Amino acid sequence: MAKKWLLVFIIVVQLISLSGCWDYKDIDKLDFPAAGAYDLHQASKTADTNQEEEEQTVDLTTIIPNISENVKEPFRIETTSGLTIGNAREPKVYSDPGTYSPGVSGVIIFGEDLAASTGLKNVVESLSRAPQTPKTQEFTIAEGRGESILRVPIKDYPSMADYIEGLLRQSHQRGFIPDATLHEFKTNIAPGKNPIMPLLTIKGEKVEVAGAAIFKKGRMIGKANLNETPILMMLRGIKSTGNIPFIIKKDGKMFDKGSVDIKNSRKVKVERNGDDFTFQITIILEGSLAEHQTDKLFTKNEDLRKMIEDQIAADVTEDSKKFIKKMQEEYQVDCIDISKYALAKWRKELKDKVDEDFIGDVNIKVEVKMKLNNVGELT
Amino acid sequence: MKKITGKPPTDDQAWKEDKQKIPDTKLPAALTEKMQMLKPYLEKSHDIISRPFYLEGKPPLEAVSIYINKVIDDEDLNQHILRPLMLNCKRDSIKELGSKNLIDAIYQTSITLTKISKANTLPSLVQNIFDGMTVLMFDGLEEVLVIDMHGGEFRAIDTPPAEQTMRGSREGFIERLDINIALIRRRLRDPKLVVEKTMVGRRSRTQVAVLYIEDIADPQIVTEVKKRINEIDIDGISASGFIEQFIEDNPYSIFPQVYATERPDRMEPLLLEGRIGIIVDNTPLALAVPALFVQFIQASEDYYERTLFSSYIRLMRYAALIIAIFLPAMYIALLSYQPELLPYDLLINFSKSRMAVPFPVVIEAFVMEIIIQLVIEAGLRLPNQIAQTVGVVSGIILGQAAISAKIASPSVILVISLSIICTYALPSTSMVLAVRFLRLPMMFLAATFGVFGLSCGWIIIQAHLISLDSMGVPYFAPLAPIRFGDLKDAFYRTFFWKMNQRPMSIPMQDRKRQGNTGGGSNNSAG
Amino acid sequence: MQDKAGSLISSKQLIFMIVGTQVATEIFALPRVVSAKAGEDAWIAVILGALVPFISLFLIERLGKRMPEMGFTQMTQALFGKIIGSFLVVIFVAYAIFFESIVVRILAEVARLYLLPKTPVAVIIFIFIFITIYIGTKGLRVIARLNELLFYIILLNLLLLILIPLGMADYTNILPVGEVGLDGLVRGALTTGFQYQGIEILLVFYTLVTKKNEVLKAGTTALAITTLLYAGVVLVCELVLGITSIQKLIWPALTLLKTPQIPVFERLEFIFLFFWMGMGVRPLLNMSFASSLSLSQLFKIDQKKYLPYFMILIGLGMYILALLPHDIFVTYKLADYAGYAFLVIGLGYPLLYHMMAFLRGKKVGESG
Repeated sequence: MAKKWLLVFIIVVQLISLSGCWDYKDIDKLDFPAAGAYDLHQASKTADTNQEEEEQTVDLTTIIPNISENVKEPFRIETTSGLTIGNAREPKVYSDPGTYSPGVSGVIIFGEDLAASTGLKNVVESLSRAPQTPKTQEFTIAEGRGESILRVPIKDYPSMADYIEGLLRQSHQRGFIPDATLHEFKTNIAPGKNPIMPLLTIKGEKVEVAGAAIFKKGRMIGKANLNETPILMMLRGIKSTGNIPFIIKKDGKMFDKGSVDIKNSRKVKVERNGDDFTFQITIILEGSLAEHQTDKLFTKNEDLRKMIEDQIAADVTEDSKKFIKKMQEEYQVDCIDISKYALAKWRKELKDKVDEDFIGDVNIKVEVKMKLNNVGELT
Repeated sequence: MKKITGKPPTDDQAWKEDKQKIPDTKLPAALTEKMQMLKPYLEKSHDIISRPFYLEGKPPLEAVSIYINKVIDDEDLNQHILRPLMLNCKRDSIKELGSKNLIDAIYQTSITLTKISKANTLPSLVQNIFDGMTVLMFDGLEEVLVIDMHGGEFRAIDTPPAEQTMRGSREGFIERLDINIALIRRRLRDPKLVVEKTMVGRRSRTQVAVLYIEDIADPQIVTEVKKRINEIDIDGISASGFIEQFIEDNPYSIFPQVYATERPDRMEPLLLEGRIGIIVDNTPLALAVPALFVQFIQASEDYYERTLFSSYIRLMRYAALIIAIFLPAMYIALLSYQPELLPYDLLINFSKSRMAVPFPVVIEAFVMEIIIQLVIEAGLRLPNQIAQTVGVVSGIILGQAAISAKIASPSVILVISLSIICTYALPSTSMVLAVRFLRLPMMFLAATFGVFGLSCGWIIIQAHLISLDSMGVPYFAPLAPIRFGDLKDAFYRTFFWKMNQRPMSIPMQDRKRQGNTGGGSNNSAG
Repeated sequence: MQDKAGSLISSKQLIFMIVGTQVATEIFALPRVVSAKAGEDAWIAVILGALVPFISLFLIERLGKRMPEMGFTQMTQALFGKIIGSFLVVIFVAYAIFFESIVVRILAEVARLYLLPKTPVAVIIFIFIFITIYIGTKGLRVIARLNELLFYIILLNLLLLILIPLGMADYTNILPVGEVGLDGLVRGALTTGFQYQGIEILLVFYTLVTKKNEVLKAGTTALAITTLLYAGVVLVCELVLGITSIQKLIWPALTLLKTPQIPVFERLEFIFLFFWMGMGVRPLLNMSFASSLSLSQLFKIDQKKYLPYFMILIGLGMYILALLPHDIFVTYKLADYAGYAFLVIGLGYPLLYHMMAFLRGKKVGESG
């Protein structure tokens, strides 16, 4: 008898809840943006450059695939604006019958002006607050406006979103492209750390990676070009693979020329003498010879291997020193992620001042260890 | 409480309850009086044949044989009873043998059959006739001879249709109890194998045999099983399913708690693991208790193939179980509650295919599920050849038509049919039914609360499984209460030479299973 | 055989029941709560914090040894007399309801945030309570076994939580060790001490364990497991997220699952929640069973027959209490009070009982 009542009770509860279905939504009535771009609103930028920061509005550009078979265009690109990111989604209600469903897009592009003026720290807030967003969205900075990047026509890929996602996802394993996710951005604005992000640009008809954007906490303060980016990544210790060339000169004449596929990693040691901090960065490069263009055989020139290793180590050391100098003088920001090692030893003491021109006053020594693991099939 | 005595079923207890219907009188000596007494019971049954004859002698002894047509073996009757009695039996020579009792002398000298007993009361006489015995009545003798010579036409031993294996025996149980018991005896020549027969059903008087190995099976469970069988009070049972439903612990549960098999070579290991077999006459499906949940995922093929492959396929079966129960529900939950969980490209594909369908996902899935369940049900009832055609037609044509009519999206058809296929990957038909049923409430839960609802459904199913018992033994046993020793034959099957102990989940007296320490050349250590 | 009796549990099952009562919702917010006090050394504070429940365990075990055959209610009444004893039992039950109403509210809030944003929280809580009552009425045997089975699923789940994000760990996040100082450590440890709520069910379950001499060992094992799980989760959260981020997250342990980049399927938190939501009823089950058992002993009525009614009653109490907090922050404020209440029940009760037993001397044992 009790079981019968239990059954009746369950069925009644189930039916009542079915009639509620508070969260039920039909998948074909939702709009899923494939990518989003956030920019400073153009009008507010041009009209009054001295506009109060809190009154600046944001443009949101989204790529939304058309799911109906009758539409020829595979996707639609829309730009809406509002006071904040969340607010910028609101106008879509007026022009689009589908319910906008954020949190599935794999790529978020920030316009350079937005990143440089207000900074991204508070902009990102909305993304990390929403429970449905994954923390693995790829973040990137656009030279110019993010909107214009999304609007570049593309042929080989379903949409620009897929192209950029393919370009950036786990890109540090493909080459010297520093990919950044929402999670990495959030953890890198902690004391002693600063984020970097890949930089996209439009070259002719194509969107390309143009280097890295350097941040001081949430605000973008500089760009590293394609020559500096590998050095930045090696110094920062982002494990990546890539090809670097070398030219060995002997007595002013070219002795050998070629390139090496390398993998990098780094070690950092920090020492302290009173208020003088000395960082010892050891960049460890390992790789295999991709090519060398002279007929010299390794079997005959026993020191050739050593020469290549030394040459690359010297090149990287020189570039690193140049970059560190630029960083300490121009950016004055620890974009190579070493302050954390000082914090790990003297956190309480340095906590407050580590982000205030701490990096400008420290000594940074770089040592490069290059090891050529193999030379391929040829001798 | 009644007790199984192990005697032949002729003086079974169950009958006594109905004794009042037939007056409990001793049989008279005269044959005509006996016939007169029997007349009311026999005259309306035209299939009962009484064949009068004389035994040679001075004077000739009048006798009648009574039997049911085609229930006994005609050949036996002619060869072993009528011929010797009519032609060879000389009354005088029997007397000369010095036998005090004429009736003993008759069967000891002249009847060449083995299963013979005597009766001297009217009820037992009548009952013996209807139990299919041949009865010999003699003039002037109060006792009658009861000869068991069941025969007639039966289905031959055949391959079990629902549990086929590649490497196992091709024999399956048939409808004859004695043959079924013999099939097990042939495989298990242990003198400790006990076969106890009883009768269930006041009117059908169906023979039920209880089998167990005396020094392995737990005596408590044996008594419990016998008690439950003896307490069954019903007019007739027509299949072992009746027994199953009377003895199971939780009739309200959807999960089967008695293991049914049609393979004697599946029954054998079950008996060896201390379970108790129940074989019912006229049913080719034997039962085994106590049953565990994992048992319904194990197939006999698992033990015939080599260990690694068997373990792999068994893990697959668990995956199939989960897919079969949860996949359609998961589909509903993902599409209508948590679409952001899907990979982006899949998400867009789903919403593209859903675009043309006017119904919500829930209704779409429900409709498809019900259609497919009906197709399966229809296929069961149809003759084999047509069933295949109908299956193909409904599978392909209905699916295709539903898609082109924009009633269902391709993805929902994929999901539902995948779950159906996974359902039938399970080796036990009774578990298949449970899974088929369980899918629907899960879909309901997913439709109301999405992933959250599924999570609740999952915990309720678990709690329910844990609360079940089979003959007082925890049904979900190697998992909860967890018994690590038994897991070697639950999710995977380890090497036989590593299964030193019989399963802990079944109470029993003797745990040691085998003594080898390794396969191949290491074998000698045992 | 204890399984057949249905009213006793083995010492092994006691381990699972204690872990099952402890590890529920606290783990979501634990990294935030502890690191607020203990900074980078939060994981050490978590380990130190285990001392609080351990003392409680030790006291309760001694108490049980003193009067091994008496249930919680009988013991209380024997020590304090009918009226005060009943009062103390009622306080215990009220505490259990209070504690569990917070657990269920937090569970419901998690469900609402991640799974059902528009569903009224009352409906979600109702479902939790309904499941609790449904399973609870099946009796101690089922509860114990369910705890046992779910324990392994918890382990798998938490290993998923701990191991998968570990690839993104940055070890500098927890260095330097010990800089927060003794003060911070102690405060952090005390805060974690509250998070080990659940050991107090031993007050009720002690008499139900078959082998009483193994209780201390089982309890210690259970506490060790909980401590390891807690410390593991806190440590990984710190390593991956860093305490600056942790402070901004309401449930760092759940956010942690969103960080790893896994091809195709990136939403680990949903898998986690799929298992965890159902498992969230464990502490509710254990606690409401313990309190309905105590109540039925208090009224001296047949426990088997009236257990469902007590379960329903307690479920109702939980339901109403769980709906009272205005939002999640009020709930966490109340959770702090529940933590103090834990000190009273987990430490104060056994101490009080010990004192009373000492004062009364041997008489009590005889009268029981």
